[in-house]
Amino acid sequence: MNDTPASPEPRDEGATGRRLALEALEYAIPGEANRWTYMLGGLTAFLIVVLLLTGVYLAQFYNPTPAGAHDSVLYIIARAPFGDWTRSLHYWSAGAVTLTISAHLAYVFWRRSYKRPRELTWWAGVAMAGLLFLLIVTGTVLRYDQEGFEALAHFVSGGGLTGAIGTFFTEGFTRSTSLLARIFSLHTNLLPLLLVGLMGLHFWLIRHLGIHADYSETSTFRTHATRLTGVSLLVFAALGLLSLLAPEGLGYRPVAGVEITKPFWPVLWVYGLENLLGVWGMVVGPVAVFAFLVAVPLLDRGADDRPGLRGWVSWLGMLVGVIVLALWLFGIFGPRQQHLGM
Amino acid sequence: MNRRAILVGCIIGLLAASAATGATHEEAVLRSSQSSVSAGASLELIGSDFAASETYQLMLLGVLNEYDVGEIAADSAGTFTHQLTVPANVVPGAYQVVAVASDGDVVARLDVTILEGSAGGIATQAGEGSGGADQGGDPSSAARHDDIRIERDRSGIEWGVICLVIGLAGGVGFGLVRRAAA
Repeated sequence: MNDTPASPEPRDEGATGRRLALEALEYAIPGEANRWTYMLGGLTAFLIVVLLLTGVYLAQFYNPTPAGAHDSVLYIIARAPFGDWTRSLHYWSAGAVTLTISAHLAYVFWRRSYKRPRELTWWAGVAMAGLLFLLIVTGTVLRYDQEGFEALAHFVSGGGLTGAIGTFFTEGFTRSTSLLARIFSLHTNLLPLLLVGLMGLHFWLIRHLGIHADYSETSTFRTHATRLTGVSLLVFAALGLLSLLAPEGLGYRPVAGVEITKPFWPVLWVYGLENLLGVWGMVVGPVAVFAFLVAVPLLDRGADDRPGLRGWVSWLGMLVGVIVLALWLFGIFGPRQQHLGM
Repeated sequence: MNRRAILVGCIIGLLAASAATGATHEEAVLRSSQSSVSAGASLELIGSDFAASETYQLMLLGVLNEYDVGEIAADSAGTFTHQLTVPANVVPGAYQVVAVASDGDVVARLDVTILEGSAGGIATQAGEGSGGADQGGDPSSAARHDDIRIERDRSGIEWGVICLVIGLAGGVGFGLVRRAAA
C-alpha cells in the first residue's frame, strides 16, 4: 500500500516552465488521491492562505486597544476600502476551514492513516487543528462587541482556573499592555507562525512518506495540484459571493459584567459543555478531545492499517465524534446560560 | 537610455518626492499632562513650535466621528496653553486632537482617550455615533446580543473589483477542474 512507484517520464515544460522547475510536480501519486476526499487537506491549506491574506489586510485598520477596537471594526465595515468584504471573507473562510479540517481529520481517522510511519504527520495535523481552534477563539475576541468581550472574559476566567499555565490569559500577566493587545498579537503573530511552520512539516512528511492510499493506479501530483487549485478557486468564488450577499455583522459596544451571547458556531460544542459542566467545560472539553486525538497513534498500534471501524480505538473515536456533535447541537438549540457568574 | 539609468532616475525621483512631502507637515508639537479625559470635561493643551501669531483650528478626530472643538492662537513665540472642553456628546473611544492650519494642513496631533461622561461607566454605551453607521438602539446602556445596523457604503469601483475577483476565481477554477478531468 505504501510502495511509491517510479516517477513518470517528464514532459517538455517550455522556457518558463523550466525556469519555474515545474517538472518537479510530475512525481507519481496514487490515482485515488484525485478524489475530493483527498483534497480536504489541500483545501484547508488554501483557506489558511486566504485567512492569512485577508487577516494581514484587516490588521492595517484594526486598533487593538480596549478604547479603540470596536470603533476600528466599525471603520473597517463602513469606511475602509474593501474592508467589509474582506472581513466577511475572513469570517466565512474561518467557518469553511473548520468544516474542511474537521472532515479531513475524520477521513484520515477513518482511513487509519495515523499509523506507523505517519504518526508525526497525524500529530502535526492535530496540532494545526488545535491552533485553528485557538485562532477562531482569539479572532472572536477581536470583534470587541458583546460576543467578543464575553470571549475575552472566558479567557480571563480560564486563565484563572488553570493557575500558572493560564497566567498569560489574565490582565495580571503585565501592566504594560492590555490583554486585548496580547490576544491580537497571539492571533496575528504567534499562532499563524506556528501554523505555517506545522504546515511545512506536514507537507514535508506527506511528500516523503507518501500518501496512505492504494497505488495500483497512479496519477501525477501536477494533475492533483491542477484539480485542487481549480476546486480551491471555486470555493473562493463561493465564499466571496457569500461575503457579498451575507456580510458579517458586528454587535453593540460591550457591557461589562453580563453574559448574554453565544459564541461563533465552531465553538458552540464547548458552549454546550459549559451549559452542562459550568465554566470548567471550556477547559475540560477541548483538552479531552485533543488529548484523545494525540493519543490515537499510541493506542492503535497494530500492523493492520486497513480503513474502517476496526478495533476499540476506532469505536472510541466514533463515540467522541458523536458526543462533540451532540454538544454542538445542544449549544445551538440549548438555552443561553451564564457560565462565568459575572 | 539603458535600464540602469531609468532605475537610478526613478530611485532619485522617489527619494526627492518623499523628502519634499515629509518636510511640510506636522512640525509643531501638542502636549498634555492627561492621556484620557471624560466627555464634557476639559483637557489642558500645551503647544509649541507653531508659527508665531497664527490661528489654528482644533479638531477631535475619532475613527468614525470628528468634532470641531474651537480655535487657538499661538503667541509671538509660537506657543500657547489652552483648556479644551470636550463636548458632552462625544462618543467614547480613541481620538486625536489635531491642530489645522489655515491652508488645511494638520500641523500637530495628540492621542487622547475619551471616556464616558459622568452619566455612566466605561463600555456601557449601546448606541454609536454618526458616520455612515446607522446604529439605532437604546443608548441607556442595556447589553445587547444582536448586531448593529450598519449602512455599508460600497463604491462602484469596489463593486466592480469584487465582482471581477469572484468571476475570475470562478472561471479559472472551473477551467482548471475541467482541464484536470481531461
